Amino acid sequence: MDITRRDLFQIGGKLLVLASAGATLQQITGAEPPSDAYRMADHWWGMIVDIDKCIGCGNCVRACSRENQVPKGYFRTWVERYQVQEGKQPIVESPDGAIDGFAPLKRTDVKAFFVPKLCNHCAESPCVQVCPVGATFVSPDGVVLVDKQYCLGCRYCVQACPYGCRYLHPETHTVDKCTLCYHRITQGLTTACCENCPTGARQLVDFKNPKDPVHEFLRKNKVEVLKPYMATQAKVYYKNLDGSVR
Amino acid sequence: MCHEEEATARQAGAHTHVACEACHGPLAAHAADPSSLTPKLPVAADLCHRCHEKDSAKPDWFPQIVTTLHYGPNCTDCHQPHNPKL
Amino acid sequence: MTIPGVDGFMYPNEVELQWSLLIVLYPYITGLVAGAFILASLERVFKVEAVRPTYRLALLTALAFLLVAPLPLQLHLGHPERSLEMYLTPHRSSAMAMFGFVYLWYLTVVLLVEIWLEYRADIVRLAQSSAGFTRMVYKALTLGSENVSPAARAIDDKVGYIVTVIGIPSAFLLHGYVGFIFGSVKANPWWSTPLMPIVFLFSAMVSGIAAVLLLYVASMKLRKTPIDMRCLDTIARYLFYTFVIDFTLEMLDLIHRTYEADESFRSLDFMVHTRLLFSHVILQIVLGTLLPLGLLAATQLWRFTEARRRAIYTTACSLTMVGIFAMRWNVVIGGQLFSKSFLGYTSYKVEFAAREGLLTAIALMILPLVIFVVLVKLLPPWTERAISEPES
Repeated sequence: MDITRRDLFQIGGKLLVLASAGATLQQITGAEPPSDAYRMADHWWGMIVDIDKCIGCGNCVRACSRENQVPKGYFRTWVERYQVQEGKQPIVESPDGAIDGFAPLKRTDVKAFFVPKLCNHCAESPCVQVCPVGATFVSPDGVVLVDKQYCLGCRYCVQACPYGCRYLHPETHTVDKCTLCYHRITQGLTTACCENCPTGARQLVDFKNPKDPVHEFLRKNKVEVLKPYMATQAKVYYKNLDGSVR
Repeated sequence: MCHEEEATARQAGAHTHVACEACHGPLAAHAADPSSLTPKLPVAADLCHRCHEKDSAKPDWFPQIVTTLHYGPNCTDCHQPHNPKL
Repeated sequence: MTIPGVDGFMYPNEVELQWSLLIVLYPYITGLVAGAFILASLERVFKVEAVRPTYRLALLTALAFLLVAPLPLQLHLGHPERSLEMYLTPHRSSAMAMFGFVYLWYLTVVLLVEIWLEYRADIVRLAQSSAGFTRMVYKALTLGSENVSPAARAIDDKVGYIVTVIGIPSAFLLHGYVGFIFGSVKANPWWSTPLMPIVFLFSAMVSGIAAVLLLYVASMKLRKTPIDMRCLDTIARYLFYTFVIDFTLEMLDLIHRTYEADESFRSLDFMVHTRLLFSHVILQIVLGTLLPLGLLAATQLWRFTEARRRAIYTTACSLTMVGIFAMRWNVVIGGQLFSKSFLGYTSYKVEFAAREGLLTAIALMILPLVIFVVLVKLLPPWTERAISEPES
């Protein structure tokens, strides 16, 4: 049988039209996703931290470390203890990130408090801006994540982060940092650090949820983000943060 | 339900917001299959101090003691961990 | 609990430096490239005929260093096998990603084209006069064009001129961009300044010109050929002018910081006086800038014999090379020695035999010289014509 090029084109064309029609039909009549599935567009995650509630126990650091297999000596979250003296630089410590808490402070002549720190999941993140391949990105639900399969390990983002929350993972040789326990929050759980905080100093918040306590928290309290002049649109808000905190 | 007694005690006391895993360590495996992982009882002496040892950086409203000036070194001699109020 | 090497407070993840000696080497090498090319363009575009003897040498120097430039970066990456993604899926807001294209542009469209056009007649001649494997290599380099008629040579000249004209802003972009990679990081006050690309560029020009002068003197000594003093004097003069501008810019940065004394100043000032005392004050400023500037100024003000001048130039250039390396060290390493909390400092110990250690750095600095020797053998900067040119 003699098949000409014209024949082939005609048959091919018809098949293509049929296939497209079928695919379109399937798209528009296909099943809806289940109603309890997590939809990124419904969320805009952040965190609120109450300085007056933090007791520096380090539960958050331990919980995060275990939940996320954080390598020893590196920190996705940590707690700092400040001792603020009049007219002098504050004394700040964070022994091993406070993974075992702190040695008790005896002196009472200074203003002392604890500051838990973590990735601020900035909406205008400078770390995302500098990544040469876009391996780090802001997810549609507001979490700054790193794609381990794509990261080159150049560490430009580590340099660009004003808060010191990134590090190079010694085993994967990619950059690692707090993921806001993305694997938990998308399942309706809270982050490991918030779960294990005994005083509720740390709380996961969802700005897109109208019933979330964050709205009242922001309205009723004096709040600040770290390094606001960096204009990173950080999403971790601190209540009663002292001006000496760096 | 497992551990009902401990759960009820905890809900009634000051440790109501302290997660089980905060003291007992990560236990998702135990919750999924209790026989697969038997959690070790935490050593109270080390554990309680991390939160409750007096530290001038801790907020005043938080219950703190100086162990050397307190009644005895073993917290659990007097306090029940799940509902510690005496 | 004190961490060894740390004074005061650092954020826990800041204690370990992320960008090592190899990242110091990278701007140093690209700087030499830009500087060598600017020197070459002095003759081609600005018609400074006196430096003609170093024209080809400067181009080959630029190429030798540019070929080695990506190596320290590759050795630094956690996943070098993924580095091609910077070209395939670049993140357009990233200065680092966009720089990859500037590098590629400069290597191919500027440097390789210019070298080929300049050497084309020689390549054809060598292809015809050699045999065996060498003949194959030269034949390949001709890229199929064996027309060396005066008309063709005129076209070579014209296109070469245009390429050099494009090449000058490209060279500026090449190294200015490296400065921007640092200068645009708002998180780091030691790096974040609009002056950074300009300071980087002028210090690059200084180091590149010094490198070509040293390579020229070394090459002539090895070939037992007399050095063209008019050429050397001219190079030294341009080096002096460029150095004055570079020094002015660096002093401007310093004075500006000291005068404004913002929050970072106290921390940075302390760091310069302690951890960077040797590399910044002694190596970069005194030995690497003031001394060579003084030596070069002396040759402009007073007469010296030829031998004396040669000695002064080689000393000044050697010191300059060290000084500009120190400058890169102070920017890259210095920028990571202080805490972003301004409350503490860490230290950096260069490892010896590690992937990013001293041995690797030394090898990466020797490699361009090896490549340079190969290039000089393959594409001799000196034809019989050049040798028989009258000396002044």
